[in-house]
Amino acid sequence: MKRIAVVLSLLLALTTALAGCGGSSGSGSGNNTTPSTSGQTSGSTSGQSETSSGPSGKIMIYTSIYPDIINLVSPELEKAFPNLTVEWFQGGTEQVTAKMAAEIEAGKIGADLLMVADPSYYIYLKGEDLLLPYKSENFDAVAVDKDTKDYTYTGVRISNVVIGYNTNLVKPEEAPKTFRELTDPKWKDQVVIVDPTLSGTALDSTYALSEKYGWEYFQELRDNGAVIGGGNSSVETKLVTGEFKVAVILEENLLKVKDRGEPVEVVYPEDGVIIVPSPIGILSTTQNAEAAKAVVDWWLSPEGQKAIVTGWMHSVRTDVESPKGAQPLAEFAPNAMKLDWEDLASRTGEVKDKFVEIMGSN
Amino acid sequence: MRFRFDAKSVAIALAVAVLLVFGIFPIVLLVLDSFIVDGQLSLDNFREVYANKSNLTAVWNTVKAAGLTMLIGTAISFPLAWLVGRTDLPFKNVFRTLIITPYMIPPFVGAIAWGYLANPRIGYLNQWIRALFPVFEQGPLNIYSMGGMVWVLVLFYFPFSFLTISRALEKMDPSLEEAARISGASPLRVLRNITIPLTAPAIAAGALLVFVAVASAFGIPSLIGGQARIQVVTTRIISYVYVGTPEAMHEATALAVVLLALSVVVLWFSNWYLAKREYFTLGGKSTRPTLVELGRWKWPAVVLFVIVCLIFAVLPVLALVMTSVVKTMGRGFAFDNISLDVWKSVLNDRVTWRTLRTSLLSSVLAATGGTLVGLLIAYLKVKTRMRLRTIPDFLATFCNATPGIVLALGLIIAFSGKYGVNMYGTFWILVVAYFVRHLSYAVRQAAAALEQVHPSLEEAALSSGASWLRLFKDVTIPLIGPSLVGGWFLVFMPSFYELTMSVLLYSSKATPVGYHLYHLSSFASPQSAAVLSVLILILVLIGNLLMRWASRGKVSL
Repeated sequence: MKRIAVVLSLLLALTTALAGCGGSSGSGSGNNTTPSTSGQTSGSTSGQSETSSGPSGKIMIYTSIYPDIINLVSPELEKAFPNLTVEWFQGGTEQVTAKMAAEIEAGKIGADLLMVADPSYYIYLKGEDLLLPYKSENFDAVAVDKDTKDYTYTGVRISNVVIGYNTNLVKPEEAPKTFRELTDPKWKDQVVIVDPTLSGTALDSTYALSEKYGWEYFQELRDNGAVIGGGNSSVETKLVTGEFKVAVILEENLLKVKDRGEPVEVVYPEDGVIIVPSPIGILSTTQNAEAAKAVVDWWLSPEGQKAIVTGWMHSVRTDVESPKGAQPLAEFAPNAMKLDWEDLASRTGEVKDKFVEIMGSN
Repeated sequence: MRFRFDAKSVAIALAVAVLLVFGIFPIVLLVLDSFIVDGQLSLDNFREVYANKSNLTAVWNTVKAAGLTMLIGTAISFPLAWLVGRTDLPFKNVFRTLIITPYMIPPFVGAIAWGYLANPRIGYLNQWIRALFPVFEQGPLNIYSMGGMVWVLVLFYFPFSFLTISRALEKMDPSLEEAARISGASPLRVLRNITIPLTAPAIAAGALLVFVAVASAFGIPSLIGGQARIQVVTTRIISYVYVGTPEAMHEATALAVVLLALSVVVLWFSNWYLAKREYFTLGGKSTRPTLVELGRWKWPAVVLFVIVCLIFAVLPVLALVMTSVVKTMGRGFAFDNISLDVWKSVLNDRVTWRTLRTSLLSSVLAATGGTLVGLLIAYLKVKTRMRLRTIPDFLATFCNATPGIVLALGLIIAFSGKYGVNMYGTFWILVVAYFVRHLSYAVRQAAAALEQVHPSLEEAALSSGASWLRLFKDVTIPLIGPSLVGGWFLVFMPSFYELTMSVLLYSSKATPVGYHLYHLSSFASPQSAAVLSVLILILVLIGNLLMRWASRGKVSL
């Protein structure tokens, strides 16, 4: 029994130690709160109130933005809103929306603000009367897709689905120029794509490509040995390590790893980049609308947009530069693929099903 | 014994009530839910789900993968268990531990590791093979295939069968084998005519355990099956859940019910089969069995084991460690391309510790509750004469055989407030899920120990005037203490790295480390995932050593 007692007390000590280190967050002990990945919340509580100005209390943002960007933004938000605690819940777009679905069903939405990738989801939410109309002071500066009628959502960041190739394995002059070309036998068994049941932007690109080329395009891709490689990050790894020569992937993933010295290069396909203007919207169920509105304003301001660009995405404002190493939006936007978000909003399940049926089964 | 209102009955009734409310109620609700469309009793959900060809294929793939894994797993478990348990194989204790290392590695982590080892183009193994035999242009191993998936499944699920067979071999009365030997039968003949028939029930039980576990596995099929274009039932269920609409949820439940039915049939068959031929003599009273002398086969057997252990235990861990220290992934593993940056960032990331804490806390609670409730259920089964006393034990086993995804869906339906309790989105639903799913390990462990306690000890205490509580506290529990600790760990470990249920039940307030790992590898940073995997592995190994030490070698994974 003595040994049992030893083990139990060891465990107890360990639990308390860990509990202690987690519990100290947000206690204003001077260290920056690290934002979270995978659904952890983290509070960026500021010190005690300095002035009574600005929004206060707490807001929860559900987002699919990468953790490193939340990392970057947190201190800035803290500076801008000293009295506000901003909490994050981060996951893939489809995970966040699955969580939203469960919460809508249970009648208890935890989010005040929503920043997921797929614009069509906002149309769905608007249809369910779940978005709060708000015309931000920066609304007019936003140059992309936005709800100009009811002001329920507006683009806040631009992600682009492009082609990436591994420069160790493919010479620049040999690299594919179009999405269409990926069905060419030249790329047999060399293409990896992102799973639209996991990623919102992949859902958008799947929809765009199936509208432009028909589902036969995916059948041909499949016959040419293209495979689903999981979420954007696992596809990124498969490209970087050379498991595949070519990937259909987000531009921001490529820019980020290229900057780190990995052997990848971006191709802006001539048959049209898939531009996804990911929105921000306030849930109508929010208990802290004032704060939510202020945070929307901040995201759309030049400061907020600079954070977006540092995170390798494009700004929705024309007065903010493109991310390092990227082609300016204006160059590839005119040729971009056309997407009907309303149509996609009503056909999400169908698109995923069809994709899985073609690409996902033997 | 009739039911009386005393401490014993109340305690047992409470334990059974907990099991019914948290385990059986959600599963029953889920089954009912799948039969209801717009408030009407209907089979539409099933009709819809099975009109979809992808779902039928998924069911077929599940049966195929589970069946193949079962066959291959059993085929390798028996000889290995026999060599370890019945021969004079050198170093057999070391081998015994090493060979079941995969049992301690979360299957999901194993799938990641094998992805690095054996993907056709740049898998470490394939690179090494190609360096030795330049005839291959790519491959020759392809983990992304049905064969590859079954291979990984075998590695991670064969311990179920290996452990069951080992235990039976240990318990088997050796006098029969000895009698045969003395009568002049050759070792092979003894094996064929005595050992195999006697262990047949254990072989069958182990095989069925493998089948059920594989059919409900999610980690390996989602990682390897995805790229191999192999959909199984669990991955289909998750896709339906991710579609997010109420209709999709109904389709998910309709699919889940089929998985449940599959498990129930197998469980029922296994119980029926075992009840008919339980030959074991319990208690291990006889002398240690004489071991078969391997003679000149001794060293070949050692070599075989070394190779097996290398493949089963060393390779996957090596792959993870290598991946976790590479500086630029584009260059692969090279000694001038090593950096500990990822390790530093993972260790410095508060989320790592927060998720570890969540998992540690929830699994400590689940294990403690499981040990308590398990003990009472085992006591009811072994030490009382109440009618229907074995039912709760069966129900606990049923909850364990219920695929994690099914159970998690049931818990969501039952505890999102519709029935008065709202735990969904909180830490507590994780505790409940881990508790219910792994309870049967604690029951089994406690029941086995209680069977060894002679009633005379309890009678002595009772006749000296001790109350039942006192008896329980001062006699029963101390007697079976080490086994209880063992049971505690058997619940704790799989809860600690649980993934399947966590994928559905995690929330912003409570994210377990298993889910964090899944998230890192799919959405954030696969290299961090490798680091976290190694970290979890180290923790689990320490846990296993502690468990062995605390239970005085009686229990280990």
